[in-house]
Amino acid sequence: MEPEVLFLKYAFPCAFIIKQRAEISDFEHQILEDAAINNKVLERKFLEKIFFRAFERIEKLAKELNKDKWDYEVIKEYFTDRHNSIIDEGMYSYAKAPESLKNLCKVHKAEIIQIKDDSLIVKYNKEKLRPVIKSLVKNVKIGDFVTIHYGYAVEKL
Amino acid sequence: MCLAIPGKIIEIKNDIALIDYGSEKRQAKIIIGDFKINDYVIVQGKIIIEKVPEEQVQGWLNLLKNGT
Repeated sequence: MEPEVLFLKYAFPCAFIIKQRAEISDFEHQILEDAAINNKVLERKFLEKIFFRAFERIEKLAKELNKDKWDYEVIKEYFTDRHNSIIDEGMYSYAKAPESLKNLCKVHKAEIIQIKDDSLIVKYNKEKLRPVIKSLVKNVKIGDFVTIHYGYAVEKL
Repeated sequence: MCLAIPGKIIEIKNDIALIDYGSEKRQAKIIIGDFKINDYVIVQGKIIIEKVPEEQVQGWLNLLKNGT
C-alpha cells in the first residue's frame, strides 16, 4: 500500500469534522472518500493542506525517527501509536476533552463480531462494541481483526 | 482535534432515529445499542456510532463553543 493511501485511510474518518468546520467542501470530501475507498493516490500537497493538524505532528515524529514524513513506517507509527499517546497525555486541546470523544479519536484494534449490510459490529478494549462502516476494508469476515478510527474500520490486520 | 458535533435524538422509529443539531435535523440508523429520546449521539456515514454519556454532554458542548 502506498503511504498516501495508508495516510488517507486513517485520516479520512476525521474528514467529516473538517467538513463540519467548513474547511473543505462537499466535493473535496467526496474526492477524499472515493480515494480512501478505492485506494487512490492523491497529491501529497493536497493531503498536507487538508490535514495540516496531523502533519504538524507527523513531521515532528519523522524528525525524531530521522525519516521522511511520507515514509510508510512514520505514517503507520503515527496513527497506530503516537496519535493515541497525544490524546492520552492530554496534549493540544485534548486535556479538556470528555472520555467518549477521546475514545472516538483514538485508533483501536478491534475484532469483527458481526457483519450487517455496510457496517461491521466490532469489539475493542475487551468489551466495548461499536458499529463501524465497512467501506475502507475489503474482504473481511467475522473473527478478523481491524483497526478502527471514529466510525470506520480502517485496515485489516 | 477531531471534534464531532453531537446531536440529540428527538424521535425513534424502528431502527431509524431523527437527530436534532439545532440548525438542522438528520436521520441516522441504529446498528447496535440502546438509545432513547434526548440521548446525545455521534453520527457518521448515517449510522449512530456512539452515545455521549449524559455527564459528558456539557463538557463536549463547552468544547465546541470555545473552539479547539
